[in-house]
Amino acid sequence: MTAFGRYLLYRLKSSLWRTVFLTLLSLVFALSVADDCTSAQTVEYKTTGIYILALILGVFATLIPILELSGFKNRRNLDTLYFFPISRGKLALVHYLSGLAQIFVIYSVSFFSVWAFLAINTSCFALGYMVAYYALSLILGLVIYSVIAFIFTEANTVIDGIIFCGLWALVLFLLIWTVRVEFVRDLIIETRYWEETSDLASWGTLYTPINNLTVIFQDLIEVNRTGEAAIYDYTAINAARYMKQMYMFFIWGGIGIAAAIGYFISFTKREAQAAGEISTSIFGYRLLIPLYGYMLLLVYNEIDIMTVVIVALMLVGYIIYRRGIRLKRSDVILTACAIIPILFNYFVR
Amino acid sequence: MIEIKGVSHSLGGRKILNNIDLVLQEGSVMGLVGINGAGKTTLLRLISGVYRADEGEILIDGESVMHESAREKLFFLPDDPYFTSHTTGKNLYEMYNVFYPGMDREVFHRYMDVFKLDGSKPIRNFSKGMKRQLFIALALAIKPKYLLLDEAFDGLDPLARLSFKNAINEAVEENGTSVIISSHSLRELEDFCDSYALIDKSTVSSSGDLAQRVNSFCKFQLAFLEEFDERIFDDLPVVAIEKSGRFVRIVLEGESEKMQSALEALSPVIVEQMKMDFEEMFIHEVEERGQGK
Repeated sequence: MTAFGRYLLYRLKSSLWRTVFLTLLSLVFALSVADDCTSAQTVEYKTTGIYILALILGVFATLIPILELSGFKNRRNLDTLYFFPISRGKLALVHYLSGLAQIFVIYSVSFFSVWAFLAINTSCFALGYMVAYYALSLILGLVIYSVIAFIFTEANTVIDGIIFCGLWALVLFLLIWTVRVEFVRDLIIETRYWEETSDLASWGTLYTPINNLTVIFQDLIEVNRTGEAAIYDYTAINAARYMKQMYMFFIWGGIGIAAAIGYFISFTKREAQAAGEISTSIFGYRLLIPLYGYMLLLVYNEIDIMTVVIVALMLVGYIIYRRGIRLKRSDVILTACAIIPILFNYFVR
Repeated sequence: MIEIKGVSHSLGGRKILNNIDLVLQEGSVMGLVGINGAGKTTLLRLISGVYRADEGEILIDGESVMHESAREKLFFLPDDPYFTSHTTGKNLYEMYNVFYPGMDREVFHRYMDVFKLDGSKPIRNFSKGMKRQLFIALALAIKPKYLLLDEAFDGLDPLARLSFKNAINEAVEENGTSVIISSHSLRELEDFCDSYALIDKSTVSSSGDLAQRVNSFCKFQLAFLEEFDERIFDDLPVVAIEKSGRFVRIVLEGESEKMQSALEALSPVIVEQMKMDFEEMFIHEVEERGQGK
């Protein structure tokens, strides 16, 4: 067996107890929710509770890559990991696959346990759709995992990595929302577009595609709703809305592929000496602080105390970035440029 | 053979190493010396493939260190190796065995016994010397062709130093291991290094056979009948001079017999040759370049 195979096995073995613990935790959580959701007296009000599976997948697709890759933020650790006779590319692949395997086990055990529970205890659901849901949700889990792995790799410390992941999770949402508020509401005054872009924004966060997929499948699986239950069935209403924007799955799929490629490039190109240093990646504070600052100012569209708070938050962001109050000239210039969206709001809109 | 060809490396925008050329011959034990911040650790990280050189190349038996097969021949023991709080000696053995499947378990256990280390106890409870001995036990079990040791004697008590040196000597003798060892304990290095490299002002300012280099200097103590002017030594290759009244200690570069004759020609009352060691040579070389006190 090659060093790659041996190291992968070693990683899987050393994360075994963690995987077992997290699997049991998820299982207890998933089954208790499934039990709760199916306990309604009348069949119309019984639900599958499969949203808990989406939650488990979303949480672990975020947590596991951070745990897998945290060791690479420690220079002492890199002194050991990088002299081992294994290439950086293979090292990247081992940690990617090891994390993926952990998520696969945790999610699959929870998923099939819930499925078995529903099959044994209920007869009112179209459980055949669960196969498709399983496959598609795994793909979306892989998208979350790849995005988190890539963004976290771009940071030089664990804390920076977590901050980057948190901010990137909402970037697309904020972008769609900004375009919506700036151009659709105020410049293209047409209600049709206003509603459509609202739905589009609901696909914008890293976690909403899996939520929307779950809503669509809940609607397909929970076919039992009739009468009064159906009138208040927001699942069906939302599922119908999300179905119109199925293309967003493909966009997120593309983002996932790009993120996976980005992860491997970033991992192999990173220098050991960067670990623990200020995170200067273009995918980090350098882009996120002005992006968030300007977008929030555009969306807020008022000039009052909140405007000052947003600009102050940009400065706080730069202080966190530079780990002190000694900011660079570029930081001050970019903060000062906040005047542009403020003036845009004042004069153009 | 490890060949370092024109290697330069910067950290945080500062050039730490500039155009380094160095060769470690097979079976050689090289002492890597330099003042704090000279770039010894950076050079070891470059040789072990932890850092990628900005310029130049590092070849292990003719192959770039960035190739897996080249690094199979290396073992790098950093100054402060990483381990998690619950890591034990046995855990470390298992991890290293993943990358070095030919590791000799018997050798590992033998040295664990020699060092009186318990492989089942968490390393966090070990002293710095014990940790270092544990990693040396791993290195000896791996039997690497090249062993890189950073700040090797740091934090070791005299007994630990002795057992550490014995272990390294055994590795050299039994396995033909070549060693690069960085340390500030130059007297310790002198005991078992046959070559040296002095890093100064971002480059290798001096390297070669250690004994030959030390012997190229000679130190004398002289006493004169009367007060004298230091300028009487102007014609001699003086490296360092320390005058106190009618007495003087002088370090000269050159063959000792010739230097002694030259000094005797100055008619001192006493001319006594003293032992010159690596540490003194290092201090003189660094001071000469304006880095010392």
